[in-house]
Amino acid sequence: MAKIKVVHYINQFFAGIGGEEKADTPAELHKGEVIGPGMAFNTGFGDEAEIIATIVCGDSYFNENIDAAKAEILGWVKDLAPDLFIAGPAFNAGRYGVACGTIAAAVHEELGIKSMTGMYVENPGADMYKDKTYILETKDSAAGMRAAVKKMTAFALKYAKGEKIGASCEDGYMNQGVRVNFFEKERGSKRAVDMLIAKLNDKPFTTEYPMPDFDRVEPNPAVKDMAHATIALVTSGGIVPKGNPDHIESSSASKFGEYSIAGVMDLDDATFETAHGGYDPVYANEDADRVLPVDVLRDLEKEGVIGKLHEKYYATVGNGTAVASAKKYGAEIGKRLVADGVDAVILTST
Amino acid sequence: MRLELGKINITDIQFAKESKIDKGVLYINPDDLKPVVLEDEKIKDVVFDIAKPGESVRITPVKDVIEPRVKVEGKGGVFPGWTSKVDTVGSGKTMALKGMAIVTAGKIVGFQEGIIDMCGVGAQYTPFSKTLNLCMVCEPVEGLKQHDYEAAVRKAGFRVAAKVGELAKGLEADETCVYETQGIKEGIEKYPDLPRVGYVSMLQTQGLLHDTYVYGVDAKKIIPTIMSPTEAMDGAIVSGNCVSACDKNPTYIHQNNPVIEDLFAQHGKTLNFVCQIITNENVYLADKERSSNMTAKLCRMLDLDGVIVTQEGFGNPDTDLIMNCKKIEAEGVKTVIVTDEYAGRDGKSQSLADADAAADAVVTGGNANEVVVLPKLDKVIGTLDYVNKIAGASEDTLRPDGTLEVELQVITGATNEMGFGVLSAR
Amino acid sequence: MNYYILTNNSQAKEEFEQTHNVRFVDGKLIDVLITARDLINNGAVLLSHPLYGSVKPNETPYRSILLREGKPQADGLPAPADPESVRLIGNAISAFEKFIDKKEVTDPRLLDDFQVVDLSLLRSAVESADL
Repeated sequence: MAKIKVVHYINQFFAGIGGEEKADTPAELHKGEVIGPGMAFNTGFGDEAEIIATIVCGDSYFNENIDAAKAEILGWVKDLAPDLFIAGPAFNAGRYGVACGTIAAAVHEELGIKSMTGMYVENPGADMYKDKTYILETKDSAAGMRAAVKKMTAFALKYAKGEKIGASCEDGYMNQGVRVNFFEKERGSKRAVDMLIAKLNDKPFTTEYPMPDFDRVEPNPAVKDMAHATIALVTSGGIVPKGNPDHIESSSASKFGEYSIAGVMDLDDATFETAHGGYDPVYANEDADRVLPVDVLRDLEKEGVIGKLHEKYYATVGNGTAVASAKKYGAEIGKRLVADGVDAVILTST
Repeated sequence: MRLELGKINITDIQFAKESKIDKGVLYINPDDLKPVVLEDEKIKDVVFDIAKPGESVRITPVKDVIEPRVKVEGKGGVFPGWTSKVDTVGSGKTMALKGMAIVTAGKIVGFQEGIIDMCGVGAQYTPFSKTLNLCMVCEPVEGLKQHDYEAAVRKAGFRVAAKVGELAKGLEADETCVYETQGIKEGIEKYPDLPRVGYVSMLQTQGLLHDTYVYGVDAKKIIPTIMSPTEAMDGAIVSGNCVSACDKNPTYIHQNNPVIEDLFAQHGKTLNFVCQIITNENVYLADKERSSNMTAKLCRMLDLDGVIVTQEGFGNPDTDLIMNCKKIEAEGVKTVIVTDEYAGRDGKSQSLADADAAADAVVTGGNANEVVVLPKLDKVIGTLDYVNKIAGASEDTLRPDGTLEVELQVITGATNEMGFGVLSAR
Repeated sequence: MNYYILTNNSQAKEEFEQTHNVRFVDGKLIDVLITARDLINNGAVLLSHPLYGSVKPNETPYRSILLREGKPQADGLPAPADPESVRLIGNAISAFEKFIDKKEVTDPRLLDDFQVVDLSLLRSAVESADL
C-alpha cells in the first residue's frame, strides 16, 4: 500500500525561526521538508505515512492577515493533495491554537481533506473549532510534546486509513457535540454505582451526558400597574433605521444599536429596515412593525393599557451571535433601561 | 431479608422425550409445556423452538424474556400474583437456570417490536444473544382483542418459566450467591460509617403494551413503595411492556436487575444498600407529580445519602426521571440517573425529552437512533412480516439482499436503562 | 374535573364523546401537538404528558391529550400561559422532529392497533382525571 501523504502546519516558533519577534513571518511552503515536531510525527508514522511538505506561518501574520493567509495555504494544500492535514500541536499558545483550528477546519470544509490538530483544552482555539475538525487534547506546554505526538500519530493513522473513529473519550479527541455510541468496559449499572460512590465521597466524576446548558432566567413578578408603566422594545431581529447607521453585522453581530422612536407612530419601509441576514427580510423590510411592534404599542398607549412606550429602542442581530456577546449586550441594555426608568421590556426575536 | 440464589449453569438445551436437567443440559419435551400454555383458552396453539448463541437465527418480534426459577426454601413461590400466591418473596432459597431464557415471541399488534439476533452485528447489542433461548410463539384464537392477547402471552410466559424452573428442584447448585439487606436500625448499627444508598426503579406504567406488574398489581395504580431488593429476584416485578424494545425492561432484567446486583457487590464495603424503591411512569401529569413527591419523601424518611434512579422507555419517562432526580436532590440526597438517548440518526439532536441542571451525574445506555445494518440470517423464529412497520425501521428496512437497515431501538435490550449492557455514548 | 380530550383518534372520539368533552382534530399526530401548543399559548393547561407511550412519534399516527381551560384573570384578561405546559409541549414537538419521516400507515389492521393502544393510554389518563 502506498504511504499516506501528510502535510504539516506549524508556527514560526516550532519551525525554529524565532519567538514573538518573528511572529510576523509570512506563510512559507517547504516541499519535501520535515521540520520541528514533524520529525517526531514521521518517526511515529513508520512505514505507514510520511510528511510530504511543511507549511510554516507566523502567528501574528496568520491572525492579522487571516483571509490572505488562509487562501494562500489552502492553495498549496490543494495542489499537494495530501491524505491528511495535521496542524500543531499548539498546546496552550492561544494565537497558534486559533491558527491551527482555523486552517485545519478550512482544509476539511473547503477542500474535503481529512484534517486534525492538537491543543490544550483551554486554548481558545479548542472551543472555536472542536466541532469543525478533530482536536486531540494535549498538555498545556511543549513539555507534553512526546505524549501529544504519540496520541496524534495513533489517531492520524487510524483516521487516514478510513477506520471507524470511535467516541471522543475512546479516541482522545475533543467532543464535537455529536453523540457517538461505543462499548464501555463496565456495564452501565456498575458505572452508575461507581459514579454514586464518587459523588457520595465528594470525589470527581464525569457525567456521561452533560445536561444541555440552560441559562434560565427567573421571570420578574408581573407588572401590577400597566396603565402607568413605561414599556420598552428590544429586539434581536435586526430592526434598524434605514441605512443601518451603526453597521450592525448581518450575522455574528459585534454590537447593538440604540435608536430613537420618539414621535414615531408606525415603522415604514422608508425609515426602517432589518440588518438581519438569517431570515427572509422581505416582510420585515416592508413593515418593520412585524418584528418591532411600535404600531400596536402606540395603540395600547392611546387606549391607556400601557403608560407609555419608551422613546428609545435597542436592536442587535441574533444570527449566529455568540452567547457571550449577547449576554454582554443584554447587560448593557438592561443598565440603560433601568437608568431611564423603564418598568418593563418586550423582547422580540425572529 | 436474606435470599440464597442457587445457580445452575445450563450449557445446552435439547428437545427430548423426558424433560429434565442432566449435567447442565436442559432436555425439554414440548408436549410437557404445551398444556401449560394452552390451559388459557385464548391461546390456540404454541410452537417451541431453540436458539443458541452463534447460530444464524433471528427471533422477532420479541415480547418478553424470562429466566426460569424455582423457590426451594422460604415463603411463597416465583412470580407472586401470577404463578404463585401473593406471599412476600425474597427470602429463603431460590434456584435459577443460568445461561438460558424463555423468550415469548410473535405478533400482538402490527408494530410489535423486538429483535434478538443470535450472531452478527445485532448480537453485540442484545444481551439475549448470549443466552440459550427456549422460544415460544403463541397463536391466539380467532378474533381475540389486543388486550386479551397481550395478557394471555404474558402470563403463558410466566407459567412456562415456572414449569421449566421446577426441573431445578432437588438439584445441586453450581454456584450460590447470598443477598442480604438489614432492617433500618440494624443496618445503621452494623455499618455506622457507610453511606446509606437506595435504588429507585421507575416502572413503565402507561396502558396497553406499556405496563409493569408488582405482585400481580398493575403498577400504575400503586403509590411508590419500598421493597427488599431480593423480592425482584423471585419475580415480584414482571413486565407487560412490549414497546420500545431497546429500552424496555423484560422480566429477565427485573429478575437479574444489574443495579441491585452491583449495589449488593458494594454492600457493607463502600455503602449500605438499604432498599429498592419502586415508582411508576403514568401518563397523567398529576400522577407524575404525586409519584415523584412520594419517592423523594421516601428517600428522605429512609435517611438515604444517595440513590441510583433508573427509567424505562422513551419520551415522557424522561419527565418522570428528571422530576425524581430534581426532587430527590432537593431533599439533600445525591443521585445518579441511568437513561438512554434519542439523539437522532446523526447524533445531533437533544438526547432527552426533558432535562435539568440537578441531573449532574448521568449514565447513558447509548443513542437508540444510531443505524446498524443487520445481516440476513438463515432462520427466523417468529416473523419478519412486520419489520418495516416497527419503530426504528422504515419502508426501506428490509433490503433486497435480505439485510436489515434499522436503528438500534429495534433490538431487544440494546440501550437498556437499568445499565444491563456496556453500550454508552459521548 | 372540567377538562377536554384533544384527539385525532376516531376510536377515542367514539368512546368518550357521549360522556366527555372531546375536541377532534382531523389531522396527523403533529397537528394534535400543534393544536395543543396553540391552545396552551392561549392559557390551556396540560393534564397528560404529550409524549405519552413509548410508541415513537413517527410510528403511530395517533395522539390524544387531556387539557383544561386556564382560569381567566380577575381583570377579565385571558388566562396566562402555564409555563410547565409550554415547556412540555415544546419538548414534545422537538422530540417529534428528531425522528425520520416514515411513510404514512395505511394498513387498516395496523391503524386499528395504533388506535387501540392510543385509546388504552388515553383511558389510563382519563381514569386518573375522573377520580
